[in-house]
Amino acid sequence: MSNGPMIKNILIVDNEPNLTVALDFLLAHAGFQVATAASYTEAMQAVTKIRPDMVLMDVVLPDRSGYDLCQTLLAMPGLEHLPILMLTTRGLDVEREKALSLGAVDFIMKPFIPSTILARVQELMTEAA
Amino acid sequence: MRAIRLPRLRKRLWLGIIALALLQVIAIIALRGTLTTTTQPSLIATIGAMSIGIIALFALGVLIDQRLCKPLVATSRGAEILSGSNPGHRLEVHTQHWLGRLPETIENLAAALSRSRHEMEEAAAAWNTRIEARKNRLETILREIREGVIVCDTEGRITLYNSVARDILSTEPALGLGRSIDEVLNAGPLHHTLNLLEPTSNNAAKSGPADAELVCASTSGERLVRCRVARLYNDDPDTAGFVMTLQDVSRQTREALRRDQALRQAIESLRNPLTSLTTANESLRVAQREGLTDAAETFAAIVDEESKRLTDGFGTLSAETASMISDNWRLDDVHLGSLIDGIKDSPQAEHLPRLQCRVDVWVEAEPYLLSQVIEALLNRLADELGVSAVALTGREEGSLVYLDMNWSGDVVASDQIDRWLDAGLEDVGGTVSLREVLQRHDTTVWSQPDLSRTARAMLRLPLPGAPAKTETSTALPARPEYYDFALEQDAPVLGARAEAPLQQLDYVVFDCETTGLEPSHGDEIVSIGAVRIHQGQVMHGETFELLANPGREIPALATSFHGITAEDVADAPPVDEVIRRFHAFAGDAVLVGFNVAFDMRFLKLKQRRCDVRFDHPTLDALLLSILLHDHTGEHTMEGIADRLGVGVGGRHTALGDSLTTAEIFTRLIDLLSAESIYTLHDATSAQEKMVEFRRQQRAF
Repeated sequence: MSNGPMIKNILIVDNEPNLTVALDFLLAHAGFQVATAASYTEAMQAVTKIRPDMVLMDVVLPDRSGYDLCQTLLAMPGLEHLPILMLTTRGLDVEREKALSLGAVDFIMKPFIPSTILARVQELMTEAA
Repeated sequence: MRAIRLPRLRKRLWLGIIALALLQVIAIIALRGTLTTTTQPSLIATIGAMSIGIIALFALGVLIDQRLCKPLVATSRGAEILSGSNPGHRLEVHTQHWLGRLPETIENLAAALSRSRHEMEEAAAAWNTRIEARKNRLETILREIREGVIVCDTEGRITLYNSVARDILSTEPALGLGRSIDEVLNAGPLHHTLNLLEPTSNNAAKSGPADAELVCASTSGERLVRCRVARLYNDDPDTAGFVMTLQDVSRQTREALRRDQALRQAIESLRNPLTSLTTANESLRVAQREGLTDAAETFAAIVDEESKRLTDGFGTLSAETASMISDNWRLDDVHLGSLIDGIKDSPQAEHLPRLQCRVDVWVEAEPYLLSQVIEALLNRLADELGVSAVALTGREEGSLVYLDMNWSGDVVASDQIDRWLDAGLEDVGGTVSLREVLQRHDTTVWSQPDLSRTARAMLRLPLPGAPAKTETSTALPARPEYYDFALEQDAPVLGARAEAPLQQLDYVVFDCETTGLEPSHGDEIVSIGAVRIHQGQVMHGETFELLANPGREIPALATSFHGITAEDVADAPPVDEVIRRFHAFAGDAVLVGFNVAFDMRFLKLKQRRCDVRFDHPTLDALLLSILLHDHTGEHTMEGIADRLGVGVGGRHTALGDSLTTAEIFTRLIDLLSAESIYTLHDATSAQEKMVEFRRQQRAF
């Protein structure tokens, strides 16, 4: 909130550098303040610095599961209502159920069309506001 | 003495007559004592009459003997012969006798008996023929059936199995007649299924399910089999039990799992680059629109990079799907010469060039499709190049076998061969191309000039070679006779088997080939061979043969004995693993060897490390042979085999020596009974005495 009422912080957690760079650019261009992390550990460090308004994260992270990160974040004081959007390469239907059960607001299968992500992020941020 | 041995009947007759005659003689002597002048004339007349009576008595005796006793005795003996050994025997009775029609009646009876016996024998023979025919038919069915079949008795002991079952369960050393099925297949699921088939009080006998299916793992865990089990209900305990058919589904299951996983991974691996690509592309578009040149360049580079990743991922995916298609084919060891002979003899051969075949090599191939490909190539050579004669040669080089099809003329252009390869195989509905069949064999075909001869060209087709199938048999010096007497002090407990007849015991005859004679100085096993003996029969289908990697060099001297080189054992399992597998094969059988102490010492030194115990009773064919034939000094395996009429094959291979020893041992068992050695206890005791004897012999 230190960045002013209008600018929202978004944290992208994914170890695909090309994807985070491109998403970073697109979200920044859409008016968001973006931070990126490539692992669970980096994400935890980033969270203490920037207090994100929303997190986009991959289910598979190099050090720990994205689901673990999701649960850890939602258990942190002040982050109980943090919208978490999970991205995944896993094609099973039950994965979606699992993500929603563990507190994610949505679950998007890769590959996705960038504009749908942008629209979904904007929608969620408006809801939160 | 023999001449006066009369049959009892005749003896009694003559004893009676002699007694009467004696009485008369005594009477005559007594009467002579009372002789006076007054009684003289009448007495003399009486004595004369009595004398005539004696003569008459003897004459009557002769008559009764000849006409009654002799014919009766002859009839009685003849009847014994008739009823016993020879129904066609004629009674040796003189024509003059007082027996009336008795001899004829007996002969008639014997003829009737003989007829009915003959009829019974014919009926029995007919039954035997029918039973034999049924047995042969059953054996043929069992042999030809494509499923494995195992029959067990009520206790779960294997009483019959076919070769397919043996192939499916080739990883299970315990498979054998008389062994428990629980040693071969995972007991839990099988017992559960058998219980389901058991008639309970609620479901009256034979009204339960007839059979049931289960999938279970083999004991070693290396095979997954689908079994259909049916109980055999029979009042005869010999044939009651259960029968099961088996299909190996391990390959299918493992392959299916592997494919699923590979496909899933391949698809997932495409998701990330595709996501990055679309996102970078969108970013590139935005950057270009906003005139952000640096950003645009960054994203253009990302688009390039992700495109490459996508292409690679697609390559992996397509390779995976290709292998899935080809994995449905099974490659077998095929003798290439026989396969080409098959092409020569096929009805299509008239459309092919004349074939001259000098191919004596083995390849790993799908035989039908490979022969179709070779036939198609030859067909094209005749059709499109007008080749009238082709010489085929096969040559092994490394792991490959080169099949060269050589003709007089020009080489075939690559694009022409490409067209041939793209065509479908007609015999499989054109659905599979020649190229696909060749790819499945990891190969392709090309044309090149024959450099060794002018104006000749050839098609060269490399194929995956199959392991050499030739046997080497060279005469080598025998292993020196070797005893380890210390070993015998630790005598195994014979238990309930001590008094069992030797013929009825199960044996495992084995032999180890080694790097040397001193296991305690680091010598190791390089090969174990073994064969089972069940109910006195050498079970040629139940053998064990594994090379072992000794983890050390094999001295040239040892190689000169058994021919096994370091190269042979490079890919073999380690010694400990081979010993464990042999232990499972041996089960609780009596172990038999030729100079068995030598082999046992190698096994016993390793047993703790391998976590197994070799406390089996052991018998030594060498010691038992010496016991039986101590008159001869020839105690080599060849010498003993020769004496007992056993053929020697595959000498100095572990399995070959085991088979020879097994044949020797089965003959020794028969001979041992002549020495009053009937039971395992008798045999081990005799063997111990022999050890003691040899020890003393050695001391001098």
